[in-house]
Amino acid sequence: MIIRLQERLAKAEGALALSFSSTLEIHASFIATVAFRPRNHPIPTWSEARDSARQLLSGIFRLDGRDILESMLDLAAIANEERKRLRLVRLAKKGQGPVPPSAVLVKHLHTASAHTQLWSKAYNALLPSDQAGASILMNSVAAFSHVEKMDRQRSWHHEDLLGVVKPDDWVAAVRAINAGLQATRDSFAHAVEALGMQTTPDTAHTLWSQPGIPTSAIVLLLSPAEDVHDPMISLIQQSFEDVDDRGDCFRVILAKYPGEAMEGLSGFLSSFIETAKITPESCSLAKWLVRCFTDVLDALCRPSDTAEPLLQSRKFLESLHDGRAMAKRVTDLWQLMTTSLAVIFRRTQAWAPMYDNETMVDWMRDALIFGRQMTEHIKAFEGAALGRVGADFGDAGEGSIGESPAKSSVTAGRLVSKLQIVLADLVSWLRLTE
Amino acid sequence: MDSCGTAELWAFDPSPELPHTLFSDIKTNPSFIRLLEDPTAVSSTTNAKGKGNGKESSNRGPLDWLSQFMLSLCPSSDKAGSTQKESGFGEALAKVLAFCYQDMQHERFEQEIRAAAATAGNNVSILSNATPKKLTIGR
Repeated sequence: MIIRLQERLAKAEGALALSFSSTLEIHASFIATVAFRPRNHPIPTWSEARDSARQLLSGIFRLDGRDILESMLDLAAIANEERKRLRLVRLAKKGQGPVPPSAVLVKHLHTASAHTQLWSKAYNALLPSDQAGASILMNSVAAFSHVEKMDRQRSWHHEDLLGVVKPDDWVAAVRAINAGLQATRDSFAHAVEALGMQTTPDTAHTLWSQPGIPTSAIVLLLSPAEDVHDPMISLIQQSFEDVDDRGDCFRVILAKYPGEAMEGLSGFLSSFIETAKITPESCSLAKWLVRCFTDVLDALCRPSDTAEPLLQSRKFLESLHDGRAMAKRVTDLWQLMTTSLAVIFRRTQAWAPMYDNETMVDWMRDALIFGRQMTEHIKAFEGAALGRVGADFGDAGEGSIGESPAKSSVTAGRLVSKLQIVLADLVSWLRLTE
Repeated sequence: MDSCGTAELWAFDPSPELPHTLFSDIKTNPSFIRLLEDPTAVSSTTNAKGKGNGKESSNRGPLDWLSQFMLSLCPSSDKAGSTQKESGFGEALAKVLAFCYQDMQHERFEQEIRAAAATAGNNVSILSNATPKKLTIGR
């Protein structure tokens, strides 16, 4: 029944969705209390009501996240396409290049609308001891934690886009995204900190076994927003022994929840690639990414005080999550890292006008360090991609699964060719900075 | 409602006010109200196979028809008069949720029926929370 109704409603227009949203917002307080305040609505009488309220909130928050993300990507795509078109127009005026297409006005620009009351009441009602409740919020925020507040005065200006968008529409759409980010994130730090204060290594296991939490934690650590990644670092420090800095955070999650953590890393990189390819700029997103991924590479490829590198750990390499073997996850991660680095180098030229040279050079140095680290560790990735454990990577020695040297060189070849994409873009970036 | 297809339920009169005015009539009907106020209205009955199943059966009661009711109002764009149906749906949804989340939460009702009303409201909301937009960027 649910599927039938959803299919039919999917064809209904915006007005309907809007009226449903405003109706739900009216009852936000009640829904949030039923979901998160057991004293007001004691179990077992209210168990089903509580579970259905949580299910409802999860669904609404997930859709809000998608709304904000897709709206941002829409605006980025419109700006990107129009600026490409304008470049062709300028070339055509000089008698160069193909005939540029004519401008097509965007008739209806969607404005995102988060359920601000539901988020606000949910954050207010959530108790610090409610691990499952906090998980709903963490999982929801993670889905769009790579989206940054949009600055209409700088990167998200619209003065050159007037051929395709009406200024009021653009301004309204950007404001709506920023309002959505505010409503969904402003109380996040407080909620996670309150949760952290009640968390010790003895009690943490229940929190980290909540569905999706290790994956979301990785994604949240990778968010460029300080008020998202900082509380997550604190939470992880409270949850596990011997976690001092951000690098330890990545190492401990990768060690304890290998498959979920790898899924978080790959998922984040996919989001990054999709976003950075078209946004006017994604400097802080990229900057935080390269810094975090030097930590990730350390955890995967260098030993800690007490343990071997994860890519040489049998436990890590043999872990299975969601039906996906670790060898495949390692290969996927490598591909996504090289693609991400390539996107960064390729887009730098477009992003550079937004920032002063010193800032750009500063973080590009971090990007280069990351790239260099990748070349250093290619052997480790190759070994893991082939499922080798602790072998001397020079030969098919003990612990290997008997793969042929031919297969080994095919894998190495694949990994190297991915890196070549990056090098081509690096060369063009170096030319830019000369 | 169980016997005929839900889409055809309103074929006899497609006016958009009918569903929510009908709903208003039902909820103010004295017999219905008496049913809701009865402390035994919501009970853990066993299902047809004779096994107690809390999740399935604890909601057997005077509000179980609400989800079906909302389904029957769902507009489909390939039918004539869909805009009317949309406004009918919107109005009815607002009334149903106000009924579940406010009216039925009055102190005079037992905790069990209040919880059942909240659950019914949540279930209606979950069903109505359809994916509203197609992806514009391939993901």
